[in-house]
Amino acid sequence: MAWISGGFVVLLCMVAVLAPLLLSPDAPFQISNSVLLAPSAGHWFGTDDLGRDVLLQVIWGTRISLIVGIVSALAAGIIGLVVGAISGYCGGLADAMIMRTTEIFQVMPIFVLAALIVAMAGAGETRIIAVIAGLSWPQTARVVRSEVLRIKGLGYAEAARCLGISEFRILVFEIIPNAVGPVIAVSTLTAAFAILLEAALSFFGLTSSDTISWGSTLSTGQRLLYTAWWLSVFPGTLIFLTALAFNMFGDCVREALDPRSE
Amino acid sequence: MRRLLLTRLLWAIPVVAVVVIVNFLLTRLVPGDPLVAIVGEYPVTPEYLAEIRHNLQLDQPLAIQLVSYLWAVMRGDLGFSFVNQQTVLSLVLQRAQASLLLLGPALLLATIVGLLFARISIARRGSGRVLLSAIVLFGFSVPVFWLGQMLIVLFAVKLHWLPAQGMASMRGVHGALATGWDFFLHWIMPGFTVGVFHVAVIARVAQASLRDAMSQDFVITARAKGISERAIFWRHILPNALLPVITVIGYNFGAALTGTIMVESVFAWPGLGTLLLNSITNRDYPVVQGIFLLSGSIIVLVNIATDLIYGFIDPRIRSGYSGGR
Repeated sequence: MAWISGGFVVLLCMVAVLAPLLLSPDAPFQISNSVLLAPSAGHWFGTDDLGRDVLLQVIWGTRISLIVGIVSALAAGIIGLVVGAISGYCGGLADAMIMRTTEIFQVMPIFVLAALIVAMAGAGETRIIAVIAGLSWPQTARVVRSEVLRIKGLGYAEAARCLGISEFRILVFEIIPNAVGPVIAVSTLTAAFAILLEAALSFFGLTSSDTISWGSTLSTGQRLLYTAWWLSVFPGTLIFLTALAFNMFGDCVREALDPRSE
Repeated sequence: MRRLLLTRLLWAIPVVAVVVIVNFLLTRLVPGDPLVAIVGEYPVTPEYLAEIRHNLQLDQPLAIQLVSYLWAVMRGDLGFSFVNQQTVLSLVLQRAQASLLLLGPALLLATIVGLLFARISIARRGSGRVLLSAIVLFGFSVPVFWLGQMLIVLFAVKLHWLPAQGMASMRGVHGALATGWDFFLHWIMPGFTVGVFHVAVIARVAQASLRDAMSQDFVITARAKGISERAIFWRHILPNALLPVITVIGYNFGAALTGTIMVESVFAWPGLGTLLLNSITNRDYPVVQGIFLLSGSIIVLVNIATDLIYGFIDPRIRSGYSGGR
């Protein structure tokens, strides 16, 4: 399972990297007279209402979805790691404050808030990444905190303390490296969540109209649901498969780390 | 019990406060001077600009503006939607009913189906585990708005079995029974789409809690007393296994509402989601803010209700007794 899901993500990354090398940047935007053609040998995934090739759009959209997914998961992972480590290691008031904050995030309707922010502040990939990362770090922070609390009491942390190593060094060199496993598991789940959230935002027409992503093609598909099913089927399947791959990979990492699962 | 209620209410205050303050601060995010939005390109005198600025309290410090915003929210004044020619409060409350009409039955059914899947997965050990993880992965990975589209393409556009959009037929139907049936037909596809995520969430938790309850001593005692397996399951295992399920439903209510909002826009269900989509398109921001405020408040209320139900069902929590196992 890990190989299939990991392999699929690697394949997508290759598509995302190779697309701008093999295609001219205008190709997915190229409008033509062949409007709303069903899938055929010439256009494998059909064409949209402006005569643009859906296959090219889907290939091009891979870039946005993957960049948003991976970068926001990375950013959320780093923020969560730092905040969670502080919370778990310092304890006391800082810990209580941080945990109450993450609780607030857990009950917020994240999508509505993200939609509100993007609608008001304006679209743009960087902004969307910032919003997704800014709203999804608490999950990681909670995981890191509980890991830090667990490891803090273990023998080797005690041993390091006896050797007179400073608390900060123990945290950075002993505890955090050992807490990284669960962070990776959570981060892959965050990536799946981010991809779905980005798709939802562009589906709601919240991304700028000059970028092509899977969600924006789906949004066109919603308008033309009765006439052009291919606009919805192909990009949606890819969103689904990508989120599935990240979720599966995350589950595999978690199971590999959990000794009880054997 | 009273102490539990009190602590939960105290917890709710900062959450709602954060939602309101975020809402207020977001209005400052909109690029450009709000006055430009009001007067547009029209050349006006500086005195007139100053007058509007004063009337709208825009010349006051941010803190004062925040206080008067809080005051307005407390009075239920969320602004006016010019697009819908209605106050935002009455608009979102009205639409929230339709959303809950979609979500409520979906959650109930998802609970039953999720429990059923959990039961099956325990009964068939090996293949059951595969089935469960397939359901969970599907529920967590499928973009609900896309799933909705696929159902429409298949069952409405190709097969003509079900109505594609809306909550009721355009023509209108007569009689209570016909109206109910008409609603049900419109509900099937969006209801299923909303429910998929919850079947996944509930099945996963229910599997763990059912298995946990099955291995408890009281089950052995009941079996030793000669009670039938069926009665053991319904009277002893299920009630004990339901607690975590109720909790997970309550705590995931935010995700539930969000999912409903996404699904509605696909099916043109006249609830909060369709309103959100239209308001974003029309740049009707007070409505978008109203939806955020209302959904945030609903979620907080549901979370409190969950804790109370939990305390009501489980006496250990009510009395603050946490020892035992």
